[in-house]
Amino acid sequence: MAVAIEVNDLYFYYERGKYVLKGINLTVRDGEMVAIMGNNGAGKTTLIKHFNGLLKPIRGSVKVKGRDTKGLSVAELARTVGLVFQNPDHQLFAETVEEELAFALRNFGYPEDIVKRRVEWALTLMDLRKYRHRSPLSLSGGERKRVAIASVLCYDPEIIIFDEPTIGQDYYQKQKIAQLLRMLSRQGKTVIVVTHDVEFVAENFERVIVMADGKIVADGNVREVLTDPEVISKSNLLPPQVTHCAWLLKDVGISPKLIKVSELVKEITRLFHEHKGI
Amino acid sequence: MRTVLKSNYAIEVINLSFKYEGTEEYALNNVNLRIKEGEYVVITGPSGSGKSTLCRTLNGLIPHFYRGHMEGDIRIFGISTRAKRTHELARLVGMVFQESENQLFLSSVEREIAFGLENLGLPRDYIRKRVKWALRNFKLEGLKDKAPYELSGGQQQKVAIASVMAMSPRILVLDEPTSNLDPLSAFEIIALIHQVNKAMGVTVILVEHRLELALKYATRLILMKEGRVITDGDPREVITSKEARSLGIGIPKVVEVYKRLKEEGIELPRIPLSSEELALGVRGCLATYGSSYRG
Amino acid sequence: MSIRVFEGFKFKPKGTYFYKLDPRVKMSFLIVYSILTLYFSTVVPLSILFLFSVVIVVSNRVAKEWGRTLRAVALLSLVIFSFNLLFGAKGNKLNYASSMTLRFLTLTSFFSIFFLTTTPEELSEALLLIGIPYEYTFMFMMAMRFIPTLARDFQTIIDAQRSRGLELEKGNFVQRARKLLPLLIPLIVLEIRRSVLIAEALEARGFGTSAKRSTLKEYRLSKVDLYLLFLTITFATSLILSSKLPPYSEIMNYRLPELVP
Ligand SMILES: Nc1ncnc2c1ncn2[C@@H]1O[C@H](COP(=O)(O)OP(=O)(O)OP(=O)(O)O)[C@@H](O)[C@H]1O
Ligand SMILES: Nc1ncnc2c1ncn2[C@@H]1O[C@H](COP(=O)(O)OP(=O)(O)OP(=O)(O)O)[C@@H](O)[C@H]1O
Ligand SMILES: [Mg+2]
Ligand SMILES: [Mg+2]
Repeated sequence: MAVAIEVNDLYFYYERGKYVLKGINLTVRDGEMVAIMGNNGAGKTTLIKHFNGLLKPIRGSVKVKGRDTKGLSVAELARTVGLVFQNPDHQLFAETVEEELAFALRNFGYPEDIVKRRVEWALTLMDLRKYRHRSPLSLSGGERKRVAIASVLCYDPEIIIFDEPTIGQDYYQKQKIAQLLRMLSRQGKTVIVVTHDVEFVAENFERVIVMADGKIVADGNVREVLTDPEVISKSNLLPPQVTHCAWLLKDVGISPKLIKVSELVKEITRLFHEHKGI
Repeated sequence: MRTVLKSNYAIEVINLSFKYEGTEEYALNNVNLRIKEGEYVVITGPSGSGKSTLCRTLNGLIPHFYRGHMEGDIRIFGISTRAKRTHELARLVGMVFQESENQLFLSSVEREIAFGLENLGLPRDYIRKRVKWALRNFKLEGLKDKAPYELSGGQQQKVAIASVMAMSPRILVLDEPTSNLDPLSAFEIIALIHQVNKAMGVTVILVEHRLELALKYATRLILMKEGRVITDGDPREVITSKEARSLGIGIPKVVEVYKRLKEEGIELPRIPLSSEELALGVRGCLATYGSSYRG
Repeated sequence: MSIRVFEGFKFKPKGTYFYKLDPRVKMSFLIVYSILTLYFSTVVPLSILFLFSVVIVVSNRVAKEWGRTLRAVALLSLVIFSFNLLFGAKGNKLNYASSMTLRFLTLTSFFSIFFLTTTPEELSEALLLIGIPYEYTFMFMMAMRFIPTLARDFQTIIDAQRSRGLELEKGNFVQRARKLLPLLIPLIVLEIRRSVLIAEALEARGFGTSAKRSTLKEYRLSKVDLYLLFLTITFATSLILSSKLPPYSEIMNYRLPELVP
């Protein structure tokens, strides 16, 4: 499969000499769904801002669909890379939800009939039809979040990046977001999600990249990474609750590499059966 | 320096309803609660169910700061919040919010901690004593002269808690204090809240969505929906109630494991609220096995 | 980055001697030296003042932040210099242009020292001590505190809208002006929301009590304060006197040679 994003030895600082990213290497392939985790201040937000050209490497390179971001403007990259910011209040401004969704489409110069069609599509997708004439500013926190997501999805970017989509969301909203991510992934989109939510990652992702203080400390299968005590402690993570239980029960013969409820239940049941056999 | 307290209950909420000015629907709908001193109460529920609104009524922000229509009454140690302004209640009810950015104002940790006491016009010697106490108890001595914006997210929330606790409130209300934090920092804040509850005997009201962390030390769990209290009681009972299931709150994985084991015929003695409790349960069960397992 | 200019006007905790001074002393220091800088109009005393400020900067380990601001205003001082050289007052143009530029840099330098070493609340307390009501000094302090927050919010808003294809550089004047809406509306809404949350948090910390406010810090002039105050006055007086009395006055009033066309 073709490469969606390729980062080579990326270094970046905001203030001269104080490196925030220190030699990042990673490859994300078309259609992959990847979570990025790591401690507060690890540089996650800084990294994803490189993916649509908001920030440019000080050393090293970032390539999006094979093109180096160095020579490209944000507007050019934005058509391919959609970035949903953490706080919807940083972007909502239009008089109606409809207008908010049309904003990006008009910026990209789509003809009005296509704008209309895409807005319709996104309104339906994010369950926002009934709010189409409401002011986005009058909606609740969860609803505003949905409008912000829709306002990026509407122009159908190939690569979609979310910064902390689950913060402050209740369980139901979180499930909805998980469904959305899976749907996008099924449609062949490349999906990258920055999050602190270990349980959310354990449930919904296959690949996770873990950062700590400007470096990547792990990149791989969720099971391998989230059950590795060294990675966990380096990056201020906690293991998923199931994994933690498994660790605590390692001495009685439970595998420390469990991440799903069903796995732990199976292991414990097995243990009890073996016990009976003795 | 203390007000004489007139009630056995730390918090009494009586037939409380509240509607924000300019809105149609009640954000709180006939809420009744009685909370004893020293309890550790976790409140959860869907977005918009009125959790933050309830918090605001506890320290008098509602009805004094937020305009609207309030019915019913809230008593803090028997004192009606209608009669007292927020800043007067500040010595009884401390409040910590989600974003540290909006609750830290000064340019050193030491001054931040002193700020509330200064506002109350307390004597300088007393302020010095409290600042020292807070710095020591919250292990902030090394950061005394640092500016809050130089600190990590977790340290900032710690300073916010210390600054509120310096005013020696008897109740601490925290509205999603760990939302922006990485898992370890969030865990440390939860542990700190536990310490405040246990060692200082402060009544804790904690609003959280992520129950994996929050429930570990809770003595009581309240579920809210559409401005009402749906269920209220022992966390182990509430978390396994049918209301909890139908409300779709994030039931901790250990509770799920407990339920599934039960279906398999393995009944642990107690519903676990943390991984430690689950592990302990499994061990105990294995030890006394033979007699209890009929699978 | 334009925000760089302000680096040298933002408090930077270093804990060196200047930080420990009473804010009133620091404020008198600023006032005395600003007046001196405006009083002299020749190169020599202005250079002495500038060098003096550099000594304070270096000995307080704030050279980096100070340097950023000075570098950022370098362009502006070049403009001041050329402008005065070309269109300056009658008489000695080179001398006039040089001293004007030097004066600007020296003033910037002293203000930078003051703001680098004085916290907003110290400043507000100093103002309080000289009789300005707390509501005003507090408002000033909060403004100082939230300027960086506001700047960061604005940057994030710009980033978010550019990510949705907004191109600020493109278009004619009217089109560009209209592009400010997607930036300004979120900023206003966000800051209003934020100010409610801040007010809420302030209430919860007992702000607005009718009781008279007390303070943790006690301001009493220490020996170091008095010593520095004394030094400041001596130095200022000797500068003024030397510019009046021969033989020093000759050097002090030295004028750069006229540029021959
Ligand atoms: N605009 C900026 N100017 C200067 N420094 C910045 C800026 N933005 C971020 N930083 C710094 O860069 C580092 C990395 O920040 P970043 O926001 O990328 O971290 P993060 O991993 O997203 O953290 P969090 O989990 O808290 O969101 C931090 O130390 C932060 O203080
Ligand atoms: N300042 C306000 N003005 C008007 N209405 C408000 C205000 N704050 C909250 N509301 C409304 O009151 C209701 C309850 O909101 P509240 O913030 O208490 O919910 P919550 O349970 O804290 O939600 P979340 O989990 O999203 O924080 C919502 O319908 C909300 O829109
Ligand atoms: Mg971030
Ligand atoms: Mg809330």
